Amino acid sequence: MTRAAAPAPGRPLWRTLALWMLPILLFLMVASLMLSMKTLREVADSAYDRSLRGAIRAIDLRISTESGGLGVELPYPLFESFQATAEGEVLFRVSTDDGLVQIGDALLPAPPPLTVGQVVFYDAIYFNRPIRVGAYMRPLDPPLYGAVGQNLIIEIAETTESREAFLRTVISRTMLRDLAALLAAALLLAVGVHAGLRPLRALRDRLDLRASDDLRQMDPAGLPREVQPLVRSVNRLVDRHRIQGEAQRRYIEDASHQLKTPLAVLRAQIDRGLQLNDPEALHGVLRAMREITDRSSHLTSQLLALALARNSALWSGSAAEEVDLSALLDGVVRLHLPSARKRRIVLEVDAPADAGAVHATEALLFEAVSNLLQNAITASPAGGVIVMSVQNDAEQTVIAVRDEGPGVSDDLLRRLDQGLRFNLPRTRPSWSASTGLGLAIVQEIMATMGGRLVLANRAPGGLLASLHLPKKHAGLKAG
Amino acid sequence: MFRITKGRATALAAPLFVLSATLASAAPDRPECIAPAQPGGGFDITCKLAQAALTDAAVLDAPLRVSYMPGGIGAVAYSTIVGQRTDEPGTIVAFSAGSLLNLAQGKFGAHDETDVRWVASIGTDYGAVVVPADSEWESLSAMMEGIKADAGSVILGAGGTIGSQDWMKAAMTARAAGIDHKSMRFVAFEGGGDCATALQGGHVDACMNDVGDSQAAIDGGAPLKLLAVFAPERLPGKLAEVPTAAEQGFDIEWPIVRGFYVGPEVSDADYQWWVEAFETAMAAPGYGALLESRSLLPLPMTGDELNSFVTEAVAKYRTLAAEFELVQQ
Repeated sequence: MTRAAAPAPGRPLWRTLALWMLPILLFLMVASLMLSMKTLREVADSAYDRSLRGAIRAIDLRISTESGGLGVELPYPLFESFQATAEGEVLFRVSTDDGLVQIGDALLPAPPPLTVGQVVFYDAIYFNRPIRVGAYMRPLDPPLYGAVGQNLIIEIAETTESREAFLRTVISRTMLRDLAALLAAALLLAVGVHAGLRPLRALRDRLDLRASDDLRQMDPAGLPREVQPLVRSVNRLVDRHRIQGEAQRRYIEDASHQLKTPLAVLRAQIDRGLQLNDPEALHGVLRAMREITDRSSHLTSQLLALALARNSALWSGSAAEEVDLSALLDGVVRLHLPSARKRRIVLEVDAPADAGAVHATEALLFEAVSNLLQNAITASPAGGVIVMSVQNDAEQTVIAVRDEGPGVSDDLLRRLDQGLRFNLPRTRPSWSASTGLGLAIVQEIMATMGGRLVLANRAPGGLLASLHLPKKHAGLKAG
Repeated sequence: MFRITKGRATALAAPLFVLSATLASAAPDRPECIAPAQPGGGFDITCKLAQAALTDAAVLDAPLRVSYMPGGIGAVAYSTIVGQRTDEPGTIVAFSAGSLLNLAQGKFGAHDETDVRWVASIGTDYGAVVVPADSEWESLSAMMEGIKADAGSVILGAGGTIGSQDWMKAAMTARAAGIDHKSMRFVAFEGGGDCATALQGGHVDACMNDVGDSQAAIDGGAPLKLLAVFAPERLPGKLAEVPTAAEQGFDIEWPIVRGFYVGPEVSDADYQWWVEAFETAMAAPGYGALLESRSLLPLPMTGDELNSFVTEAVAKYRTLAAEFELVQQ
């Protein structure tokens, strides 16, 4: 369907069909020809043998034994009419089975054993030429010189040029006819495919003429049934693009909204600070401002991470590398150790000494694990325990973070099971420590790596959040 | 019936004519000469010569009847005379050197040369190679070159099949020319007459015939020409222009004795009558002309002389046939 100079222009459909069909047709034709050759040869033989039989009868009539001897009127005039129809040469021999009489082509090969009264036909070679011989034996009555049981043998042979020529003619005609049929089949195929593809060309024109922002569905009606699934696929692709476009728009809206609130708060704090004269109170305002700035900074980096994760899906896999999991977990723990300590939360790492490596983009994986730990610390009660673990099996690597917090809502779990993306929270009841972007980012990163985020509430209370990373990460999956 | 009556008559008559026994035998009632081939060949000429000579010499009152009994160049006639018509006093059968050659090879059935009574030889003929008058070949050597180039394309006609004297002439010439005689194509006819007919029809390219029957055909207007004669030297008269095979590099002679035999049970008296009849005829003044008109040379032999000639010839031919791996037993 692509008309532009693609690196490898596809083979035309009619040629693909022809490459499948024509050799098989050719094979079938040759096979049937071989079979009909045998039949044709038998038919030709029986027709030509009949004229040999006629010649034998005619010679038999020219044999006289009246004188007591055996005389044959020379059969050459007979042969002249016979040879007018048969192109080759005609040979004859009249003999008695006691060998006393032998008239005609003396060097004809000896006939096979003959039965009285029956004409036998056989192939032979005479002076390096193939001949067809008809041989006939009958009793001589009366026998010559009083002999007993004397038989007369008449042999007529013709060279096989004419029947070979006949066969050649028939066979070459058959071959020509078959070849013509084959060419016609190829031609019809090309024409048929051309005609059959006309709706596809119309479809292409419809697509080419579309405005770039026209993301309406195409109507598959009127297209060949084989092409309809393709149209539906294109429709689904267009739909995904539309949804993605909407998500992007919402992301920008959300990000703007998220940044608008702290900026408004900061503006209010600045206004308030300008009215204060008490340095102590001003200091308090500045501290509050600093906290807001910290949170805004955190929010910005989260938004950046989300954007990065989404963009990463569009990058090539060049950023992927072998990531050492032990080192990665160390880094994440070190980053969050201060905030955990502040709430007396115990962080445990349950990983084998050699946790192995995964094929991933290090920054993105770090961000994902870091987000899960951040969420766990936020959810965990003070003095709680958070366990991070790594498990390897043949197919995947699982990085899990277990906390003792309240878990997540059933609604959220259901959305995750259904494969839905987390949306950014549209409304925020309070400006809490969490930006609420964490799980959306993790999910986005997992999609990029071909992995999966799994959340499960634990029986006594708490959440188990795990990242399932495939072992042989073939490449970056389109987001 | 007739034969029994005749036999008794001879037996009764014999004592009455005892004083003049040699002349006493009456001429046979219905004298017949069997030419054991189709008309027009050497046997035909032999019988016709006897017919003319015996009439000219007034030995026979009734003209000698000529009948034809083709089959194996004399084989059928020989077997008939030895097996069926053994005692017909009025029947003589023509033979030639070819008959003796076939006898030597056992081609006449289970008979040998002692099974009949040889009466007389009346002349000798020679083998000849004859082609159509418009043939591309002007000499025997040109013809042998043609066969050498493509043996399968040249069809040789012969009065008689493989092993016959006509075939033998061709085989000997081929041997002299360095050609394998087994590579040559042969069509057999019942005598030289049929071969000459086929030659004129273009069905064969050359006939290995005899001077006598070939010249007879040419004299009769057939468009044929002789390429060679298998004679020691050129023949007299109108045949003087035809070169011998030896002149063309093929040192082969093939004389053809022509004569007659009678059945084994023909009485001595009747046999003797025929011997004397031929002696009389061949001594007649006009006989030389008769021979010459048939392109034959004189070779008068009768009785015992002929018997020993036949015995020697058969022995000689037996040796020759062995050379060409022809003897069948």
